[in-house]
Amino acid sequence: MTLKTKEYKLRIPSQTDNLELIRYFVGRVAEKVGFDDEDVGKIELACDEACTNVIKHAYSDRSQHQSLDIAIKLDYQKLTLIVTDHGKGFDPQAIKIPDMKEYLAELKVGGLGIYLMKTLMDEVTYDIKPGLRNQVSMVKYFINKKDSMVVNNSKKA
Amino acid sequence: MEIKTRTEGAVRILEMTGDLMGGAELDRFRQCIDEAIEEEKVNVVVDLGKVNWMNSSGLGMLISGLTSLRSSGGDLRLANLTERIRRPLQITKLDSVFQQFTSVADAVKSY
Repeated sequence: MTLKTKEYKLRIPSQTDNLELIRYFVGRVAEKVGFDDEDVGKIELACDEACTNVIKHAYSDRSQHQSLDIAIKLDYQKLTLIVTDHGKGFDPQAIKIPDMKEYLAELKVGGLGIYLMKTLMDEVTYDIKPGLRNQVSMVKYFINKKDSMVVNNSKKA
Repeated sequence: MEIKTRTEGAVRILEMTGDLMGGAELDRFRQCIDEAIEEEKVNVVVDLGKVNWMNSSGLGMLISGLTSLRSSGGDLRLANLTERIRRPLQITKLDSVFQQFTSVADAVKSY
């Protein structure tokens, strides 16, 4: 049996004004494949954060090619959202995920975007090739992993 | 994003409309907070009822306002949060930092 997969793509100029349209695109696909309102909101917010990072940081040199590619891949168990830019890239190892206890105690400004992405989605990975292609891939499973473990355990019992 | 300001008694109210996403909007918001501090109206209510969207930059904007006002002896309290706006606050646990009210009137009364 071959697994059915689907892919939706959007190429759009990397501009803050387009974030609403990007969220709409991502949100409607997530809705169409059956995510509830809460998960649709989470996917929209994670995508917004990833795209905002590109707009703010990847294309600070305006001479660079400034498009943003959003791809949504669907298979039987998950939605994978891939945001690709052709900007300057970054070292994902150098990103410090804030310790929220410390963050709340000191009330720092900024640095929450990547924390949000990691918290909102089930998996976040980077593939960075500076100046050529930078990708962030974010996965949301149709069945929450914790729920799936409960189902599996109850099957065993 | 648009910001309308008004004052009720000693409380400055900022009515926000549109998307809270930092950028150029941050300057306008900072200006409103600076004016409130200069005019000694350091107890501020931010009405989020007409805000469609907020990302981490918008959150940063609110935190920056909160810290400035608290260091001037005041506070920044939130009113009329929709579910969509509450989500980033809950996920980052910043909902424990901001006092939230279901109406501007209740937020004003809390001071």
